[in-house]
Amino acid sequence: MIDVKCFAIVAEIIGKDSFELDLEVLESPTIASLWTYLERVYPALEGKKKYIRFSKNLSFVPLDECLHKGDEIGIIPPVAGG
Amino acid sequence: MFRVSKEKIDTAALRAMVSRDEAGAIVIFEGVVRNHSGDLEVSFLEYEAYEEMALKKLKEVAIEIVDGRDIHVAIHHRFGRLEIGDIAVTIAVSSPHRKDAFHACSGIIDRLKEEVPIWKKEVGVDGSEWIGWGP
Repeated sequence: MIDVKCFAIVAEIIGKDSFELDLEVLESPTIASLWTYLERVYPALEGKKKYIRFSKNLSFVPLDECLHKGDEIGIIPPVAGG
Repeated sequence: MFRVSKEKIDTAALRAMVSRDEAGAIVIFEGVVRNHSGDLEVSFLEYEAYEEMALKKLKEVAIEIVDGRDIHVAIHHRFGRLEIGDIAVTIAVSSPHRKDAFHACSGIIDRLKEEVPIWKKEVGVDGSEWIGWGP
């Protein structure tokens, strides 16, 4: 299982701010596959990848980053602090 | 000192944290909730934070900007509901000379806005909107 954290608009679309996911449901254990999965389950996310960054265990990671059991993944929409 | 919390920001306390005998300059930036966004009237802002990561990124940004120089930094970013005039973030920087302090403070707020996972939702009379999300 991985722990997926969702924030702001993404949490609103998905309807929760975190959930656990079995890596087995993904085509491959990567960030890109996780996003493909999320787009399929939550069509409102379709086409929004260009706005999203991803974190793994509190660091930004690229789309081809590999996922492992126990990872904490953040779906990070455009930040707007300050 | 780095902090991401719902508590009210005490700028004087942050200033005190960077104040020291070696510092000839203290620069303080306060990010404040304003009453408009473009042409839209804002009633209040709702900030959300990925607390653990935001704290980590604040520290990383400060360390990179300081880059081993004699610059001290304290940052508190607030989240939750903030009203017009509330302080959303304070960055206090001290250094022996003013140039380093101005430069570091400005660099930190620029990087914070790019990299620190904090979001704001503008709530106005005509509804609400998360900033940065396309149509």
